[in-house]
Amino acid sequence: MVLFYSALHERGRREKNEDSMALHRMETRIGEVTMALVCDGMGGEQAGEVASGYVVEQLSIWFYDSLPEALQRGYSAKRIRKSLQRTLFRVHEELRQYAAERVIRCGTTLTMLLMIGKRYLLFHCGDSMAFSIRRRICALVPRQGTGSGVERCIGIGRFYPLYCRAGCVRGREGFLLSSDGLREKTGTEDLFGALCTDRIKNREDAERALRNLAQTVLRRGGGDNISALYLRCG
Amino acid sequence: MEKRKGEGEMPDRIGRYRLLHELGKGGMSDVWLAEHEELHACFAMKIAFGAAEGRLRKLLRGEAERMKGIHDPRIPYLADLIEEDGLTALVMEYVDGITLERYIRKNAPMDEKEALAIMKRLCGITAFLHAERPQILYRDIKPSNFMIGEGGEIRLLDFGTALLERGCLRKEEAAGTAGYAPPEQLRGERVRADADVYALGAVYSYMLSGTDPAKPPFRAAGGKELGRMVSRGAGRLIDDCLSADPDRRPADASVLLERLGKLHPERESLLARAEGTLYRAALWINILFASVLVYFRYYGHPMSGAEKVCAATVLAVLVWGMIRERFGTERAFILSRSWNIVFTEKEGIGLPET
Repeated sequence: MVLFYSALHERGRREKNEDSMALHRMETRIGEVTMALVCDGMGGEQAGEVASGYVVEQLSIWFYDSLPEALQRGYSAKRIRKSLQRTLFRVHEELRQYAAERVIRCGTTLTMLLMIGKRYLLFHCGDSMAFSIRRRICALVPRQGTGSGVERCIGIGRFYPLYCRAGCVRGREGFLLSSDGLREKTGTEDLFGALCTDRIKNREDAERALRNLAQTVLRRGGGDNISALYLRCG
Repeated sequence: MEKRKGEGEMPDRIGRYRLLHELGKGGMSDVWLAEHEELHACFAMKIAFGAAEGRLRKLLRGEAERMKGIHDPRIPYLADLIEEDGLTALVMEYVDGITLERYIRKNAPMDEKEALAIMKRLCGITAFLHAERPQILYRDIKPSNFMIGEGGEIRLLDFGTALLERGCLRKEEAAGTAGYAPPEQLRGERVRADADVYALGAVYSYMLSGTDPAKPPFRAAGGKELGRMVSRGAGRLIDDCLSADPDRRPADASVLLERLGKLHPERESLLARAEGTLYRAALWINILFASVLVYFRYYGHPMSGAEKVCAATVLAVLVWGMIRERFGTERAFILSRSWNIVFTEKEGIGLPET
């Protein structure tokens, strides 16, 4: 059960924020279902906010329209993954077509956490980050390989299946989803120092911690958009 | 026309009106509070720049055309139309208060009785428009277009998307707000008065559930989703209003108003409560009886015919209860939605055309 959340959506030093994120929760016949996602609209690409915004919009519709269908017969990670891949493939093709018609490139990364009762599924594509924070901080997604640019994203190039990770939510566990803007000038020690479970008692604490992290990034010369979602489970 | 410092191209005054401060921004124009220099009366001024030679001028003139024929205290009157130096401005009565949107956000989910009272007033205003000849289709009914005045009176603002029906409508541009506008209107097809009824149904659903239809998945909560939160009559009426088939909806706002008049949430809830109490009482009596039977059976008494009948009754009541729970009230998979939060700088819904 998610007790509280905190969100940060900052432009940083850029003119516009190409990141988009969403948080949805519904009470269903099988319990509480929560979805949190962060999309980084690919710095340097034209219409990055269009790609990230469109993916967030379509996944929000997926959450309320298609996910209940996948959950009707009970929890099945395979069924959920299949339903999500189908939606994302359609969105990927729509974005590619949209970009081709306008001779531009627009794409986005995606990091999405789906909590169904005490279980969670994490879907990931690109260089955004997801962490589990409890007694220690643990990265939930693989680090992007070295080199510039994002190898896999939605809307550009070939469609790759999403990285998927399943797990169980433990008591007092916190989850942090963020775009690469937050990680640009901070390390995992900074993140753990700010968001360790003992320090975050309520939403105000979480908001303050995220704001402080954003200021640290800006102070150290970070130039990207900064987006982060923190969720605390009980 | 003097320019206002630090506010771009916004002038200090337009005609005989002095601009005081901005009230809001619309898709095609800005709305300002303006004071008449001689009368010292305040008006709302809808201003479109570059309107002298384009589509916006036509739209504002169209709005003025529609408003000048409407005389009702629930709709702000048109005071003036100004066209000068590349701008067009509509001067309308200023309505002070809060929008219905803000009121709902603060109070939703509302008590059914209160929501019904507000709905009747919204339907009354819309029914007045539908009864005009030629009929006026508002096409953008949503809570932010209704203003609740200090005295509690409700007034309808912004006739930017309204249409005057003259016999048959041509294919119109897609207009309205996703979530409140019916599917055929968003597709840009021809609409009838039932399109406004759809939007009123969405507003009613928003008041009762607290789920904003203008947020993803851009769909108002239907009767099933509202489930036991509302009376069956209200659930059915919302389902009819939100039907994708225009012929299933009440034909216009006056028909909807009539159906709202037949809703009695307090009477229905009393009946439902009585039914529940009766069921619970029957269940407990039967459980008690079953315990007595089991006790006698345990001490070796054979089961008489009467006892068998009683045992059958116990079973029947339990099965009836289970069937009633499973099928009696149709429940949706989603019981409620919350935290519908989206952060993005993308404007509008879908992929932008430009």
